[in-house]
Amino acid sequence: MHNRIRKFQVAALLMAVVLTAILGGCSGSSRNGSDSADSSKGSEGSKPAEAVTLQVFSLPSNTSGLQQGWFAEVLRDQVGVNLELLPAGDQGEQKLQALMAGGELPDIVVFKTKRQVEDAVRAGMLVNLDDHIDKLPNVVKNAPAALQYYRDAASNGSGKAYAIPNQVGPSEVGATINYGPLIRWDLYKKLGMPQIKDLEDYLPVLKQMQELEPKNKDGQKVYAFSLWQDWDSMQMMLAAQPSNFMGVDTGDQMGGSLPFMQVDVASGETMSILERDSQYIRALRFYYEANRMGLVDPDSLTQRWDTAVEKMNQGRVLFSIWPWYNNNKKELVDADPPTGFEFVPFDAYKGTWFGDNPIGNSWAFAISASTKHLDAALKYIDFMYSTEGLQVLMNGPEGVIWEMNEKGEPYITDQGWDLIENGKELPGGGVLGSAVNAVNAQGLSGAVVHPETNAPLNYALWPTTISRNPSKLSQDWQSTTGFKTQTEMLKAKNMYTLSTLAMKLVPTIPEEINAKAARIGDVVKTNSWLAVFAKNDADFDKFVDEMASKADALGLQEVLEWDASAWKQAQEEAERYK
Amino acid sequence: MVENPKTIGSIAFHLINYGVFAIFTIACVFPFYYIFINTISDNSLSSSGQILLLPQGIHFNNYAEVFRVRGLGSAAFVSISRTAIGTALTLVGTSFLGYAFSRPEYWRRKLWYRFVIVTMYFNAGIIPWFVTMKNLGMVNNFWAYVLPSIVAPFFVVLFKTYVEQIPASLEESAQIDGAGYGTRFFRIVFPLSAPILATIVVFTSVGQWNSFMDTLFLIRDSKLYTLQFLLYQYLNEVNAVAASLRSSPQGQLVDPSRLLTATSIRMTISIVVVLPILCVYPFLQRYFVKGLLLGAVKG
Amino acid sequence: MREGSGLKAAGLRLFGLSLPLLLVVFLFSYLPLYGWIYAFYDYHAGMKLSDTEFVGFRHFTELIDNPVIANEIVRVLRNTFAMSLLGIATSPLPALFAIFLLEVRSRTFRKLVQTLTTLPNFISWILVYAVAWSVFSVGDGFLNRLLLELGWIETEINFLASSDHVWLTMLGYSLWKGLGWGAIIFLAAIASIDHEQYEAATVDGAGRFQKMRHVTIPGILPTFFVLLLLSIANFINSGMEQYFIFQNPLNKDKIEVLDLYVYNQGMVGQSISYATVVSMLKSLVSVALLFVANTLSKAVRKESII
Repeated sequence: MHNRIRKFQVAALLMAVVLTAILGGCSGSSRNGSDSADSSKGSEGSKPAEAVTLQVFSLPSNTSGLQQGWFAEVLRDQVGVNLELLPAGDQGEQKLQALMAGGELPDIVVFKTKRQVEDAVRAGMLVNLDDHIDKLPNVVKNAPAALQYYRDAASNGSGKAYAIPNQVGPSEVGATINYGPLIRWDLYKKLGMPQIKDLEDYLPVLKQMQELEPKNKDGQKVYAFSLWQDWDSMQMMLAAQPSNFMGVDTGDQMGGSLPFMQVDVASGETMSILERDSQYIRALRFYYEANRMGLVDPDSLTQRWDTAVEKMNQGRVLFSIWPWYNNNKKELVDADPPTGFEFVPFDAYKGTWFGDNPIGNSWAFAISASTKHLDAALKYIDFMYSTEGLQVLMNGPEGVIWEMNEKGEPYITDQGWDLIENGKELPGGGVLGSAVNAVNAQGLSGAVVHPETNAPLNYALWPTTISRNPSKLSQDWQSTTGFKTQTEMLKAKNMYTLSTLAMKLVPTIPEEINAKAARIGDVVKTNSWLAVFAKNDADFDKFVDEMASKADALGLQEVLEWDASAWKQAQEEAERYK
Repeated sequence: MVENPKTIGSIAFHLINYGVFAIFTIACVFPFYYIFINTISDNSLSSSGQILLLPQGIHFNNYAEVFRVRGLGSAAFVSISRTAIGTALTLVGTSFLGYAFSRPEYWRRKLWYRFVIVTMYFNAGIIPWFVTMKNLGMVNNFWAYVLPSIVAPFFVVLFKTYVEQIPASLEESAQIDGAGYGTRFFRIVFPLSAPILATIVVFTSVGQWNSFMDTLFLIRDSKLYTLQFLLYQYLNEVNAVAASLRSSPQGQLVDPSRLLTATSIRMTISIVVVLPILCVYPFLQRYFVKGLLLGAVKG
Repeated sequence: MREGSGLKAAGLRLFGLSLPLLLVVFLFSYLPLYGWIYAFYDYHAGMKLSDTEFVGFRHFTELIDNPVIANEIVRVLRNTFAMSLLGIATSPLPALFAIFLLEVRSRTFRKLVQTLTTLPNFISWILVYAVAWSVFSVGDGFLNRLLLELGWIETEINFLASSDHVWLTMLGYSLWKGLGWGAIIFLAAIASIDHEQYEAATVDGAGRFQKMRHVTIPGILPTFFVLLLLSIANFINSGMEQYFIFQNPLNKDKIEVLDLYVYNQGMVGQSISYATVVSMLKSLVSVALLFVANTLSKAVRKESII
């Protein structure tokens, strides 16, 4: 008996010892991981310097662990670093706050919003890049305005650069701009291509198209629109989209930075989206009318994006807002006769076209003040702003995916297309896209022109790619319209609105205003959907009026006042970063 | 059988009883079956809800995709370790505390008991939690998986309630022998509590097996990743890659049918994760079923 | 040695033995509570508390500083109460499930039922929704297609977007998901009832239902009440995953519980301070309810669980 008692007491004691040992001693072990990784990898490359392992926390990233594959080899050989990504998942914001509260950030951080940068700067957690600017020649050369913008806007008043925005340069516009509308080309031609003067004129056309094809080949009902609501943030996202056809931003491209305000991109004029004559309410009415005509999938209220896109893939949808939201499968667009979506703008079309963006987007690279590998970190970031670095990142090594043709243009080789289209792994491991996806951040836009190839960095924008074997469907569109691409057509007919720099320069919204906006947004979202699915005009009006009055009671005016002042400031600043 | 099975009432009772259980069981199994046949059916058919009773276009690509995730083997090992060690610790810690609180002589019993119970309702938020874990050295540390859950207040309460029902005479007899608390707990209380212990094991191990948030926040070294975490991350990646590809210029070069949606992957993952649980569960079930049999046979 | 001091020494010894466990509770559950102080500051992660502005109870009052919001909170609390009370009212079901399962003679069938009914517990809500979609949706839903085929309906019914009986529907889903799993605890409780009691009852000529009433139910009653009290205290944590997944603009009015409302308002993601205020309030209400429920239990059953 006594033995057993002993044993138990010993066990309890042991537990206490283990506890204290763990609590006291284990923090020391946490750094070991990176050191051992350093030494093990050095022998592989032929480079003299040992590769340093950098801890990276990238909010846009969805991978974690030591980066592997062909691009990891490139980084090891050319930059001398290995990247070890910390998981962010869909909890990135929370995790960032936790890391900051814990007092240190990993070597490199990729932020998603300017607010996050501002918080980190204020907490003194980032390296002042201006102290080391001589080690960032490519950043200075390729992203000077972006650097200056963050010196001014995200430095806690110090005027120093602590972070550098991503995607600096022209926007990635190739054959298409970001907006449709696209409709089922084959059906539209069957109807004799009736004229479409304005947005509302699509509805009768779509109705006739639906009558032509009431069911898909599996006998499922066809609708013009199959909507989803899981992308909504402060408004019904799909109702904010059509305004882009008129060159008006309703919180889509400005990412909700001016809540509930519509901005005419060309003139800079503003208006509340809850006014009866706003583009937003117009879009709500558009969908409402469509629903009354039986053009809206009744499952729109309850389905998610996943389901909606599947319906598109099954040919149960006739209208698309974006060029990439389509059903143009190879076997369909090359069938006889071909079926699929093509661009059919209305006469008054003035789609928003994103132009040059010298200050980049809201994602940004920064280096942690607690890094022990400052030089390596600087080297990595500079590489991500160099045309050489990004050329490899986006297109893979020359000779594997692409080559230069006799005219001196880069093109994707047959082997390259095989690797890309069939998702095969490159030598060294990993598919082509895995490189971009790992950290999911790049300093320059893919549309920046490489000085040696004279072509954009991103192969998808190369002329050789754009003109590569067009499908029967697009040949039909080309011969009917007389234009090679959508962008060519818009340019020729002057049917676009070039976005302005001011749209990128809106200051960060203060927290109280944002909290108000979020509450109003909840009402706006709900009532917008209710209005679209209203039973009659009176109901529609009721939901729209209720939306406006509730929003007013929740402080809409204050939000709009802030919007107005912020927009004015952005317009003024736009002059400075041209 | 002591009971007379022939009476009409009894037959009717059994008919209804079997019937109700059968229907409910089918209602529970069908969704699972539905998920399973969808994971092995043609993805484009399954996502449109065309697969209902029988799989069509059978393939195992979804499973192949999921099993291709890097580091699955070591993650499975970590998951099994945390489940085994975590469950063992919780089992001993929780039941001992429950037992201790059942003893009236426990010093300031009410106070300490409440001290433990109220923690069920506190939630400090993820940031203070992270900072505390960091200060305790629980970052990038296997013990972060198992130590915090040593005491599960919910089961402390259940175990205490349970122990209080054990006839006092059993434990008293040991006390007279001069045995200490350790002996009494391990030799008398513990063996008498098989059913409730089995319950704790089932709930705790499933909780351990399924958890991934602690990995997401605390773990940096991929050697310490768990299976659930890898799968969670894989799902995120599938979602994000498809979304980013769609709106980038490359996306327009891709055949839209190749942009997979996440639903089939999500379904596959949930099958992959549940299967091990279903394999282990019947072994634990014995402990309460054994008790049941005794009660029922004699009834 | 006097009896009393011996007992006291024993009590202290027992306390000492469990001290490491209490220490664990303190470290992992109490230490993080320092974070509650954020509720009174305009806190931003990474900054020292001394550098941030002290705002007192401003974050608390902001929660309800507006008539529209006050109305909304009433509505949301009504939903929270209704659904929690429905949940509490159905809390005997897992116990009954366990009791009646034991009446099943076939051992194989019993094991099968017991194993398979726990399955729904492992299906995440988002997949539950996917299954519900395949059965109830308008375009693809099995049920609508069946009813149309049978000629029972003319046009499809939009079951998922219906604003009728939202509370009951949600109760149905959560019962389906949790019943088999929840019964495990009661199976364990029944398994530990002294068999002699059943034998004695049989000798006395008790029938099936009498044994249930006089042996099984009293045997599991303590467990039942423990669970009940805990769930009452927990009612404000009505969770949100299920409601989040099933919500849509039509049923939102009825489905929005406290947690979901707070989430929908976008307050938690924005500010650590707000999130802290909300979780503090919830903790306080839960603990208060726990003590109230316990007092009631003491008055009615002469038994306390805390």
